[in-house]
Amino acid sequence: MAANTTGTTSAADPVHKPSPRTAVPHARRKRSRNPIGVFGTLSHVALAIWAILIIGPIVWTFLASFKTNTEIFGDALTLPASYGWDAWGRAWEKAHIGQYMLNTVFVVACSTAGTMLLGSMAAYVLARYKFPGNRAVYYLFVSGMTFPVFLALVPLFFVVRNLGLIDTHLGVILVYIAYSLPFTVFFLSAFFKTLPTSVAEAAMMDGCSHTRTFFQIMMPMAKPGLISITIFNILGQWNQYLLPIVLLSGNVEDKWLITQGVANISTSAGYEADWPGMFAALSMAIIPVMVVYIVFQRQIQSGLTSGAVK
Amino acid sequence: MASIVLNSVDKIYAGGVKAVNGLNLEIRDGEFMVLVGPSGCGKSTALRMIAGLEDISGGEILIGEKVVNHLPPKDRDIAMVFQNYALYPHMTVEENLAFGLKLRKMPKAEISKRVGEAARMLGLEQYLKRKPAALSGGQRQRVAMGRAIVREPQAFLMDEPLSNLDAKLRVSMRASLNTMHERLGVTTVYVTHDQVEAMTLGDRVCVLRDGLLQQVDTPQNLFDNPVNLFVAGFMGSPSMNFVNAELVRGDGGAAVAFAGYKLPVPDATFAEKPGLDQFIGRQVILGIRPSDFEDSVAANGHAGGWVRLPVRAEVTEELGSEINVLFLIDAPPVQHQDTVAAADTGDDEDATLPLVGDKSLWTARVNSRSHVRPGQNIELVVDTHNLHFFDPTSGLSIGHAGARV
Amino acid sequence: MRHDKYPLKAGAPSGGRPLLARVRNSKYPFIVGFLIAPVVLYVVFVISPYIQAFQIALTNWKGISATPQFIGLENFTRLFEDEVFWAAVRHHGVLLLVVPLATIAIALFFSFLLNLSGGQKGAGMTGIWGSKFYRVVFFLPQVLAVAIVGVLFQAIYRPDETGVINSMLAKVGVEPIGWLIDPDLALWSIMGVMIWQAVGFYVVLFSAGMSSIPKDVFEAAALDGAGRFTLFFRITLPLLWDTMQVAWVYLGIAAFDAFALVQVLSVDRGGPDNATTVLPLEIWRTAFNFSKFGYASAMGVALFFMTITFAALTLRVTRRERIEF
Repeated sequence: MAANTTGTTSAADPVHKPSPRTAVPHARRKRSRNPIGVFGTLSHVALAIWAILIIGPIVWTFLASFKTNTEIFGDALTLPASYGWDAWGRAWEKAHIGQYMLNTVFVVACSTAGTMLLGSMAAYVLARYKFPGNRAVYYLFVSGMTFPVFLALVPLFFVVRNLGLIDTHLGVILVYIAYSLPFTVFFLSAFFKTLPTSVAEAAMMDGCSHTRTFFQIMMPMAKPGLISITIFNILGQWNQYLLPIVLLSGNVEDKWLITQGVANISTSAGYEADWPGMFAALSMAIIPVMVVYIVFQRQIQSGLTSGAVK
Repeated sequence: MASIVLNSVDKIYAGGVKAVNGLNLEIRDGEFMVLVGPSGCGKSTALRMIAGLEDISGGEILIGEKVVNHLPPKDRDIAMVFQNYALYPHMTVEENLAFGLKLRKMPKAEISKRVGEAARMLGLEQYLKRKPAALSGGQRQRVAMGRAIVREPQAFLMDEPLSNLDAKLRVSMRASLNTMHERLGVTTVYVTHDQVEAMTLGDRVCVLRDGLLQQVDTPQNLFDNPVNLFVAGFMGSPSMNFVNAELVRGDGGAAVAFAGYKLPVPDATFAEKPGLDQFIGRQVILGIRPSDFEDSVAANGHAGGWVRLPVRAEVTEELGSEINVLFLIDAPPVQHQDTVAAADTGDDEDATLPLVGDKSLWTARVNSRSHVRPGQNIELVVDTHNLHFFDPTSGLSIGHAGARV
Repeated sequence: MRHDKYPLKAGAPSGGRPLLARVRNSKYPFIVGFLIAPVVLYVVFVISPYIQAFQIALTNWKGISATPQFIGLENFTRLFEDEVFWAAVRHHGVLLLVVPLATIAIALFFSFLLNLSGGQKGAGMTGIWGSKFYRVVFFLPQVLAVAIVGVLFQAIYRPDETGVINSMLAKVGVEPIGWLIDPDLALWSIMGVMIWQAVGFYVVLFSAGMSSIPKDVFEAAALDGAGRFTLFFRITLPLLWDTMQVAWVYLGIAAFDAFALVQVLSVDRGGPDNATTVLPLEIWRTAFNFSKFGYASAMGVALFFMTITFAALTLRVTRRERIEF
């Protein structure tokens, strides 16, 4: 075992390499922090190619927003001749990207707040109180995760229409909340179940009402779970495309949301031949999401995957 | 401060399981009452019913002469210390202590006065701004205590508050609990499965088993005069030795015979235990506490009325000042349901020797001057004034005041 | 002895109401109060549409103001003769086969590289240098809206040499390829985007699964003489089975969707010549372009049963004994 203690942390023969845990003294283990053998190099090549495939199109979009039409339709791999914000200005003003963005911020802020409030209330009661019908209500919510939205599409349109909420932001907000509830309730009730019962009991002994126990004791204790699921809902609702095109389908372009606007701009850009404007619009739609993602990437990754691991 | 009275309290869970069965208990004003018993005996359920965390299926609970059956916990004016402390993790120690007072709309000045007092008493002053996560187990435990103290309630309820601490800390917290109770004099109900804790803390101890009250008495009385086989086997560590024996009257007076030994029963015993004489010539279960043995060598001098018992030490456990000597006697182990139940949950030293034939394993606790080694023959002396006799059919202690009813 | 100067307000003798009622009621108003809003919202906007969908599927409802008539299963018989419907179902079949397989394979490959090919500290379970960076980058497409990704790839797939891919191909002398206008290629191009977007999520998912496997299992295997490939194929993969099953279900359900991507990216929404159409797109188009609400709902019901069948089958077929760590 101790034979292979020379400096070659070679991946040349990774299969038969003895575990250095047993063979290598502590000092060398530190040095092997960056062991680039053949295998390591190949790994990096593969990973780097995929990374370029991911970043490439996005960077290209940013660059294209500074190009002229001729440049865009010319060699795709050249840099823009000059960097100006004209196209961005046009996209913000003429293509109403600014308007769509504000609409979306408003809708998503309201609907996420509503989802979190209603979802955590329902989840808390279902997770921690025994009452007849508890399971039935829980499964009613959870079953919503298994149905495809498309099944409900037609009746949903008419439900919202009959309530007079079609082509309004309120309608979109309420529908977003309703469709975000199943996963939110499912995730949060599992989370509330893991919190110790005795803390809630201690609060009751201290004189807390049920409502106050929820808002002042259990909500703060559930913070990690609430953060994960909030991010999950913000992203999901921000990126929603189907519901806006159904619920804001009338002649209400001023109420459109960002995904709708961007999807539409590609067609209109074709007619008006303002390709840089289109790429600027696209960049504007991507940037806020990317900023949020980079800031919260740890929570986002764990939040989005934790639902699956459960 | 107030007394707490339970009048034939029942707790029946869905499915018909009776967790507490007709419990009658009076906890006097200022008393430290310990509820003890093996797990599942209903002691925690009883406590939680007093707290108002569990519904009461039958009977009545009074706190300070007021029926509280249907009062929610917050209106019972009691404070509880939980096994896992149940501190609010997002609040500092200070906020934890003050939370219950704030909810009661107490003036700020009074809150900070009480919090300050409690913190000083528990030595928590330098931790007031910390969150529970930054505290050690012992400190958290003290915060949990403090949260109860600041409320100045009519009674403290404690649900195994020391069981999450390590052994050493447990001993010192036990001492400070005693001091605290002495100082505040608040009625306290304390639940534990640890009979040592019960003995050292309680003014009185209430032994429960399967939801039924077995005996309520001072620790010493429980130890000296257990009402039945279960209490006898549960209280005391190592636990009492039992054997099926016969009570006989011979030339030298009454004696109890088992496994080839014959121990004389002093006349005083018959006087203390009315009804014992009726068992002469009949089977009884004899119980001898390990501490009522002594090595005849070490016991030199004061062996008046003590009888010699030659045995062979199979195993010795040296505890420093004392030695537990495990030896076999030539009689089958007592298979009474009560002794089995008590031994089941005996929390320590379940010595398992391969028992050859029908022999039972007994323990004697002797002075460490004895220097006995495993395999040696040793002569033990027995204090025959402390023999315990039980009715083999009922399991009740013969002649016990509480057992006659 | 001290006295409580601040007796509990509620502790005062209770008024005329029976005590029993007070305690029992204190819990239920709270429960109802907390549940009422979410349940009403959910029933109105989610449950009732689902139920209505089954009713509408049995009617000939056409046009917003028309009165629907009950026509039994006629919509379904028509559906089974509808070529576009079958084309869409075929496309789901292809998506169902290719997207999960390719995504899981690629994601496993990368999570293997990321987690197992680093320096062999411990027992070969160290991430490669920069693995955190790669993970952040790979996951990025997951947070972008599918509609936006669709627009992005329109530019990349453009059929003349102004498209990003084609202009690169032109450099090495390859004729422009009609990625989205060639009926044989269009669906594959769209699947490429789906995989492009999905891989990162599953890399992170599998990495999380791998890190939840106790380290000592790897150490034990390494002491037994297993190298990093043996470790991966004999230890990691079997223990990741549960996670892979979840991944398969997720990807399968995504394969029954594909709406936004096809709607935005494909020529003529599902074209060319229905070569890329999918059921959700047909439902949307039938309902909101042609106002054939009954027929669209029937398609929705068909889609529902396909999805449920798939999920049930997957869980059944892949069921194994659960491994507890």
